[in-house]
Amino acid sequence: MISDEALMMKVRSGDTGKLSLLFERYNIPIYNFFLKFIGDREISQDLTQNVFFRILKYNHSFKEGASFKTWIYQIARNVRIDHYKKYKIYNSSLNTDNINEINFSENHDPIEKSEEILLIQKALSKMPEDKKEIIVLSQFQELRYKEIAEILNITENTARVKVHRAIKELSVLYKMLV
Amino acid sequence: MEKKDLKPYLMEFLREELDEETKIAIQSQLKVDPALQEELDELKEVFGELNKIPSHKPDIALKENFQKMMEENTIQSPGLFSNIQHWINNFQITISFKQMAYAVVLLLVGFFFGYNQNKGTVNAGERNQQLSMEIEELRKNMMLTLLEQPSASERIKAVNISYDLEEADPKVIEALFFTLNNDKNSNVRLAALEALTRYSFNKKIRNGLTESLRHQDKPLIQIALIDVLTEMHDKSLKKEFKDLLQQDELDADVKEKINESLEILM
Repeated sequence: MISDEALMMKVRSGDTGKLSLLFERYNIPIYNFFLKFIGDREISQDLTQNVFFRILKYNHSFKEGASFKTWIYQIARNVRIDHYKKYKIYNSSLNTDNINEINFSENHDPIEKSEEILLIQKALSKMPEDKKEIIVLSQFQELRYKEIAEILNITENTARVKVHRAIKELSVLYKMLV
Repeated sequence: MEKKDLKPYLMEFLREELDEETKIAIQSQLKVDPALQEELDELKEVFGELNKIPSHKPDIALKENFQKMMEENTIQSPGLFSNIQHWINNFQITISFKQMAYAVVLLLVGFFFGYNQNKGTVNAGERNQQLSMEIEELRKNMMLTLLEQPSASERIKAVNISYDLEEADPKVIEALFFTLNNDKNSNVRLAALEALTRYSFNKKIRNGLTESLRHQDKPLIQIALIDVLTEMHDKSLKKEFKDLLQQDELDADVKEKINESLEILM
């Protein structure tokens, strides 16, 4: 299988059709990255679309030898930050705990209606954004510490310690809710 | 390796991603250190819960929009002309309604400035008033147009534009109420509710919000509406709330919220 990086280099050199393969590989994880933060399917889809639009538009900024996976998550982070900046009035006044619960319960998936899942989602929604981000990257996106370190521009060991602390905090919040 | 250094490695230990040396160090330490074992058990539990949260598939619209974007991109032919065309296309894609509106506003400002410079007889106050009215009208139209967009984030953007409007225009209020009562997306509805709350000093708006409570079926929106209505301290709401409590299918959290509000309104 041709690597992500080789595909992206082809996109960069003008064979933009190869972006379709990268879309197939990454649209679901990137969509879920946004969904875990925003809890809204439509907005998460808009933001995912925006990530691929930026890849197409700024393909020349992908550097040879770089990891495509960490690059796309860096773009996704920027898209998410821009989204928060744009709607900061709106976001600041909403109760995100409720949004997460209600929106997830609208998925008509029986497994999601279990109380434990709602509780862990509630605990996660109470986490500060930076800690929630590190949990989403390590647990849901299954990125390795080296990749998280590259995305967040920190050392691998700092990433390891940050993930550990975030999970500990999540554990405390979860126990308070149970 | 010291005990305190091992804790951050427990996650990788659970995922079996560790090198042999660290793995053996943790295994040995676990045998003699109950606190580390306890920490490992805690992590296991949280991991288990996190793993139960499934991942979701996006709607088919995402793929369709992506393909549309790719088609638009591949229509271009190579060469200098195509580069210019590509630049123009990108410009068209990235320009938002708001940006377009600001461009039109600038054009209008230029037009009025030039026109009045030449005329020189029109009163400055009248000129400013006319210009403000034009800008206000433009904002209104932009908001109403954006509210009809298929994208939820564009519709939220539309609701946010209403904050820039100086006066509560009936058309804008009507559009916000329509969004609050009919938008398929809960977050857009909440944004509309928040925008309408600014006008809650107006009795008609208060009545509209009360009416909306009767039609809402999502607990999140019902709770938000009850909060807003309770803050108005209107005693006549007690009957509304009591009527709502009679509904068998009412969500337990909403019932609890109503009971809290009734105590406040007593």
